[in-house]
Amino acid sequence: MRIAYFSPLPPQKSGIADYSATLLPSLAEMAEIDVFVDDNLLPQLPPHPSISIHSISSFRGPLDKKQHICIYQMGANVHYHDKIFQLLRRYPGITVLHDVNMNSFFGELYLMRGQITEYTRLMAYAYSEEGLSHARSAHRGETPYDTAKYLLIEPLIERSLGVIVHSHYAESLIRARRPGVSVKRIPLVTDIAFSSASAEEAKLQLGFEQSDLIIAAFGYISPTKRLEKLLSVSSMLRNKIPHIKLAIVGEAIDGYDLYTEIAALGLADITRVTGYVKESELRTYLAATDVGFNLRYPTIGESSATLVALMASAKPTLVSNVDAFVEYPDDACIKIDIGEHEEFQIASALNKLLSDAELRRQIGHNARRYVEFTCAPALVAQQYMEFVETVLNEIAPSKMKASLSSKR
Amino acid sequence: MTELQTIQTAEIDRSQNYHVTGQRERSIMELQQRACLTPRPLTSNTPVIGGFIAWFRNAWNSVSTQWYIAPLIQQQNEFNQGVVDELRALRDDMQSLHAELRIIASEQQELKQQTDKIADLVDVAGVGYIRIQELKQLLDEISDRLIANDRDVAALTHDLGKVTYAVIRLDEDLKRLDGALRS
Repeated sequence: MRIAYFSPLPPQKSGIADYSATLLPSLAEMAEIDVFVDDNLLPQLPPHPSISIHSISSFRGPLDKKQHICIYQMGANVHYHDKIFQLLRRYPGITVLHDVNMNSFFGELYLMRGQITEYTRLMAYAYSEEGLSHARSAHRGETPYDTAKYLLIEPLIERSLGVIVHSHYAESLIRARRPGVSVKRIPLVTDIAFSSASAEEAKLQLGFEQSDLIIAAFGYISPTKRLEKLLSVSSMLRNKIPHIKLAIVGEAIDGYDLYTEIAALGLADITRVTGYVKESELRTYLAATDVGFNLRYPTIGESSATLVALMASAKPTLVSNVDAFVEYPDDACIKIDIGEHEEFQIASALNKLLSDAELRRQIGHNARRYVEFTCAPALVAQQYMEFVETVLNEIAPSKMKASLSSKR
Repeated sequence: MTELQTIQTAEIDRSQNYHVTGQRERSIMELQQRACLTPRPLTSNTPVIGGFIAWFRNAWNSVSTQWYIAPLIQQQNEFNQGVVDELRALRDDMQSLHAELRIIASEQQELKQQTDKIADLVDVAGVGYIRIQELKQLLDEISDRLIANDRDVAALTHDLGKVTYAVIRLDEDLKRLDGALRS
């Protein structure tokens, strides 16, 4: 089996890049992989005899090098997925949809570049007259762009021979919109060897005290991560739990200022905002973490790679009880409801976890077990290959006539 | 022509006529001259005693009627002068009105020209509106076709993808078959 695989890769700062870097070695055990990356990118990927790296602009279609299938890793970040989308449109294959709301992607791809007609056309294609009217009305400023209602995943899934998503939530959403599409849920992948260093060693390595109790949040810092709630609760908890420390490991999105809030609440002495960190440092922070903070609301149906990394590191983690996060086992994470009791639930959960090492250990253990049985690279790669087989069987030459006529 | 326009035109004509002839001005001047009544001296044509008769009449008149007539004349003079003054005031008012009417008529003429232009524009806009409606309908039809076209392209690309992968597999199958036949 030969696969053409399209994805961002490290050092590109993208969760999907990390995802592919974790998955590819296992996938390469089962197939020959031609990885296509942005031109001039030198990906940080360990050499593998079955993996060859190519520039994305060199791709001439699967017939050229006889790849049996194309796999496109698609996310909402235009910088990393614009070219991938262009190829996906031209050469259908299997699309791995990491976000189930692509409106922001197309907004950035077309509207921000002044290509209003393209956006309108896409809306008309996906939602017929209703989409056309909405787009025109929004262009005229009569109504705001309804990005929550019009997900704009249809142009992607209708061009794809198969779609992979990471949650039942995303799977049911796609089935509801396009029942005929072949879709499979495959959990996020993560490197199970995350928690190699001990927490104490990691804390010392990062300049913390061994006795510090670290609550850590990972990934891009944005309002949807609910970090204001964490800060607010921490300002109350620090009197009761003197060793509490906050580690915010990631880069803030443009225009988002968390420092003002930190200063206003008098938390500068217990809070560390790291900015972007390399993978080795990220792993050290994961190891040093006592409780993970991975709330997210509103979501665009995405799954969280940082959550899976925390779980793989056997860390008890707080998650929002919404969308795809509902699917994680109740004993492997702590689910926080969105609403008026959110802060109370956060405070209660943190208080309990930070006061009870055994509880932390138990939930962390459950989390790691869950990840071992669902997110291990070899398991995920196996599911990829099974789905590839399913899709290829559906379009086998013997079934081709029926397959094509059913579409027309 | 509207009723107002008819009246205005007539007034303008009259106003112009008035100014050309000055008849009314002369009439007022005449009235002014005749406004003040003065008693004529009594005379007689009788020979020899005519002078006496005239003297006697005047004497008699001054004794018998002047005390009565003089106040009446005075009253009549005042009245006459009042009438002449009023007529002058009316004449002045009328001249002002005529001047205003000329301005209004001029403005109305401009308004009429503008109204005519607007009417022309409305006619053009009416035609344009119909054209826009036709174009909108055409645009909707093109839009519908474009959407249908996009869907066809998507479906064809989808099918082409399937065929491409099938061809790759067939090619491999053929090669395997060829190899098997050769061996």
